[in-house]
Amino acid sequence: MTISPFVALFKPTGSAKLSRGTLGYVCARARQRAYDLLVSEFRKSGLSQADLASRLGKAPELICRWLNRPSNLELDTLSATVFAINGGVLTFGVSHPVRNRIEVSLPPPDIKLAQNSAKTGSSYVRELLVA
Amino acid sequence: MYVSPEIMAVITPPFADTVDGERMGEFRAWLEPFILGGELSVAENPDNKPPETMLARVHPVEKEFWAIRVTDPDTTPGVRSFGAFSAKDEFVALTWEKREVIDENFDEEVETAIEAWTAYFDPENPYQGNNLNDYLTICRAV
Repeated sequence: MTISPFVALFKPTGSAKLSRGTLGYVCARARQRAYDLLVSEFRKSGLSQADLASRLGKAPELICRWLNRPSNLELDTLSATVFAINGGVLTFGVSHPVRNRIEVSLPPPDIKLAQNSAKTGSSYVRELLVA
Repeated sequence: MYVSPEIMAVITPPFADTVDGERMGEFRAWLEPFILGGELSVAENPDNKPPETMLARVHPVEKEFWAIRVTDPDTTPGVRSFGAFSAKDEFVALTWEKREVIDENFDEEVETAIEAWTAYFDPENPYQGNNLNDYLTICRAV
């Protein structure tokens, strides 16, 4: 078993080009958060997809796609949709990944878990933590 | 959420300045709703799910295995990660592969994940619920 600190994203410095992977992660993470917000507001509203589609003047199929997975919604689209759901307006904030998280790694498969249980053996399994 | 070392190796920053790096960054981001209790669209029927489903049960259903369906970047076929629940809201991701590599061999990929589970947890079986709410506190059935 090994313990290592959470490997955070590096803070950009100087003029070095950021990697495609780093930017991909950062953008995907933001899309996930936006999706989370959208679906959770929609769920709380009790609104139907058809009603939301009508309020926005959009096809119900489009609303269904927005609610089924994160997508790269334009800021205007996200703003309008949240307002159409419940009259809410978006607010913004910035967070920075922290480094003081702990991960515990999984042993090789030939090392049997002491209690033969996924649950009780969880301390052996690498836990993924998010900043 | 728990992930195997094979998965941890590819979802840990830094991510490369390549299309593959971007795909692994996306992969990482798609796992985060499992950790944060975020929203997930989930399909229980392996044979009837919208293409944008984020988590879907796979055959054989009785084995209780699921595929995380990373469908971004949309310029690529995406990534699939296979695993099972060890408890409610506790998913164990064991294997992963690019969708274009899996191609027609989806069942074999599932079998690999089942074997990985056995290697780690035998004789314990994956968690089994009666409905989606037994698996996830927050989810959107599709």
